[in-house]
Amino acid sequence: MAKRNKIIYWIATLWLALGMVSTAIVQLMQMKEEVDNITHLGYPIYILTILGVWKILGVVTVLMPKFPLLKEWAYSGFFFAMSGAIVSHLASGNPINAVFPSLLLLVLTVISWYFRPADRKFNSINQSIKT
Amino acid sequence: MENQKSKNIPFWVVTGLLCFGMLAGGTAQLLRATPNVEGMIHLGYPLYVLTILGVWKLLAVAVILMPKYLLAKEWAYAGLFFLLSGGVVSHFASGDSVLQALPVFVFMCLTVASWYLRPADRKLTLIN
Repeated sequence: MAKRNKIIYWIATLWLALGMVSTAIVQLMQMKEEVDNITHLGYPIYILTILGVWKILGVVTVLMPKFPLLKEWAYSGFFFAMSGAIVSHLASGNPINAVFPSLLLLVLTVISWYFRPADRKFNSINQSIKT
Repeated sequence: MENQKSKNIPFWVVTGLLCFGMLAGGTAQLLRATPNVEGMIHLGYPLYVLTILGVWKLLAVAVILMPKYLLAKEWAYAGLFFLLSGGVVSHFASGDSVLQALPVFVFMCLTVASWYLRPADRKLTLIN
């Protein structure tokens, strides 16, 4: 069971990291497709830089060992960014399949977070007293 | 105990200011008050972003003020930090002056201060 969870965690986490790094790179390079995409959603182009920088920092934080509190911040950032992207696509009247890439990264974020092993998780003292 | 309580005063002052600001700002954004709408247009964002930000701000205030739910509190602080630091960067990227970025910057600092000053019963602590 523990081994199965570890496999699920690493597949989801590596897939998530790959997706975040690759989209961050094209956003930081301001590739035409990304510029068109973000303009269509109604956002300013400089937001590509903000998102790209945070995504790279988030991937580094999630992949490195230790720093469980910082990992929570990284997961929350991924969650807010991807859920925001989904809402933005829907609010801009995009077809439902435009939502798919952000939805995939959102699902991978949740799976990676849910299956994070004990040494990457915050166990609060309050919880440990109860159990 | 008395000492513990008096130590919490700075936390509650900072957190009170932060929550009041987020509550007022979030409500104004949800109601699409004219200054908020004009501000968003000036920064180049779509207006539906006001709804996204307003909803998250109100949820963050609720999570920060209520007792327990320590992990959710971290997510709330993180969300406010990303949101407000993004606001500061957006002002500068739009060519605004330091003065125009100042209110958002102050709330970003209040977020960090509230997080830093959070008392032990509002803090996640590692067992191992």
